Amino acid sequence: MARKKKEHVVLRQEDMLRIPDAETYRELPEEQFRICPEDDEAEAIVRPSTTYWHDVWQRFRRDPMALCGLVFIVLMTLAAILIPRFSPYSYDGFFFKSRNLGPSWEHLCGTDQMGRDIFIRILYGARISLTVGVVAAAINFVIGVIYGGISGYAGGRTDMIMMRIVDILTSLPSLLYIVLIMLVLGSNVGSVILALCFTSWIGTARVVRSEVMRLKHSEYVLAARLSGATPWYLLVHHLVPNAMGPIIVSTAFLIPSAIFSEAFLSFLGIGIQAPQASWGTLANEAIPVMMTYPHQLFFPVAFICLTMFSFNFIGDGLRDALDPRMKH
Amino acid sequence: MTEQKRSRVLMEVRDLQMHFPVNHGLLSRKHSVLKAVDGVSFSLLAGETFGLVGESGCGKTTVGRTLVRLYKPTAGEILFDGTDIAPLAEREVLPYRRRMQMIFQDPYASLNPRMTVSSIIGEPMRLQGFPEAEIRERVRELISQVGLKSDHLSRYPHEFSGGQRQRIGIARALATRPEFIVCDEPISALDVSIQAQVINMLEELQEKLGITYLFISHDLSMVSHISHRVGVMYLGHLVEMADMRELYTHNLHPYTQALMSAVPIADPDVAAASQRIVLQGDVPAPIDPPPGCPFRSRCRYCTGACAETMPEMREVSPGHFLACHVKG
Repeated sequence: MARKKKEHVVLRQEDMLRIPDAETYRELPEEQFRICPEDDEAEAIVRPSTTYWHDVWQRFRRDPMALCGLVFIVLMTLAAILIPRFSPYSYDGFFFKSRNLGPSWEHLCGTDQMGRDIFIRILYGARISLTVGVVAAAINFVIGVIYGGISGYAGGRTDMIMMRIVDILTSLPSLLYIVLIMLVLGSNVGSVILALCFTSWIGTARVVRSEVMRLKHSEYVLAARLSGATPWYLLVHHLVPNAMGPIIVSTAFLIPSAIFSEAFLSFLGIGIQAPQASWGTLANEAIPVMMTYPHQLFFPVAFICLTMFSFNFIGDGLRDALDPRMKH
Repeated sequence: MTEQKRSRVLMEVRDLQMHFPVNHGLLSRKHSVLKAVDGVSFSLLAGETFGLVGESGCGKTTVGRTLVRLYKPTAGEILFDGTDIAPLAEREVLPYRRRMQMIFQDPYASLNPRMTVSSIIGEPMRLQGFPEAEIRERVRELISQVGLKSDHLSRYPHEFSGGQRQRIGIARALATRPEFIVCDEPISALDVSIQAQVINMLEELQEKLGITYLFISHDLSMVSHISHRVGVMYLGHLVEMADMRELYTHNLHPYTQALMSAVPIADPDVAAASQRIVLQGDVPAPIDPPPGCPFRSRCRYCTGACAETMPEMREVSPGHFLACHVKG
């Protein structure tokens, strides 16, 4: 085996002792010469100012699944708003000539037993699903933050009573009161949202309560109290903004569960009623012809799945982005 | 600050008690009381620094927080400029709030991470209802007073170092031009080189603005550097109080002596010659303490009288107060 010849750099005594001449050392001009940072420069911050939300977006952006989910939801939202407006097809009516067609360029997802374009009906369904999801999550957010905030800040007896009320509400069988609400108020989007919001804010309220309890003894809250801050001021300016991460995560996961519940109710026939299209009703209508025209079932279910995945991936991405420590 | 100037009594504390109820759970009939502060009396002269020392859990912080009415004392009087603020309701304390402020221990926890520096510093004034234009002007003035630059105002706390954050906290405390500031271990979370910077700043501000400090610390050497007078606390009681020099040379209480012997001495010869008093055992829990001197379980001079009655605070020499049955 040939041995590699090692090169040794030998420093000779005279090399080290050589006095540098004027050519090797360039003198700094007067204006560039200084010993250390001047006083006011020592305090300067070089890094551009980043806000919390900017950092969150930076972390979120690096999660490919979450980004895919976000893109899908944005595209679907735009499609649901724009396409039905310009499409020649309507979500209701009866078109004898075009019954039960398979997918084609004319009808992207085929047509149903009434000859209606399934793609358009899915987009109408997306309108309802997204509305239900977003409105229900927004209502949950508001009620949850207020209820949990008051309970967590007040503490003691108030907290005890408020939390026992919540316990009682969670123990009610949900299908029972949802069916009851739908029967009393009739089957429409509004009553579906009401039924879904009846107890789902509890999760958010619990999250807010525990966050507020954790934060209310922090020193910046004490500092604000020292200057005479009211409990309401503390909640709005200090507690809720700092609890925003977990609140947003729990709200983000509420959207898919609301959409899914709506689809489930409509599938059972107690949610959105025909001829209005919801993903649940579409799936329901496709069940009888499942063996002969499977595409009529496939497309609505595919949309439900993709939307569920997207929202859940967004939720996961948000959770990791909002609190990097929670990432496993 | 000359001796003549420091003669007006700004705050007088008489027999201050702060007890916290201890819960044993929902169904328990047992009620215990944590006596965090149990009968503390002292007075603060305008423009002086009063040091409060003692080990963790002795009630120093509780005293500080009670003086600025973050807590409502269980009993006792707090005469602030002649008015007893102890029994006042939160609403009635409000006018006094701008006259007293607090600097907190942890510069990482005492600034709201979601607020910019300018809104943090301006918060006390905003809460006290100052006009917005005045707040803006004052915030700029304060930021340069604590040695930071005005382009730091739009930044967030996480962009600053510990020492810079503590200076932001000091600027916030100064915002409403208070006469009295509680410094709750303002330097214990900082590293040594920054400690001196902050201490010097506090001293300079006192010189310029005539602020009265209650300086809480467990670091006797730092307290001795900044304080004019010192009170030593043990388990919710003030055991000795004297001028700094007097306490250093003629300390009498066994607990003070133990504390003093624990201060590191820079000169190794002197250090070798000095005798270290090591206390045995732990601090007893302040929940339902037995009668008698609180220090007796760890005191080497303990006699029969110590177990029976609580020693009264008495003046052993002018300005030197001591609560001990044996010494003095």
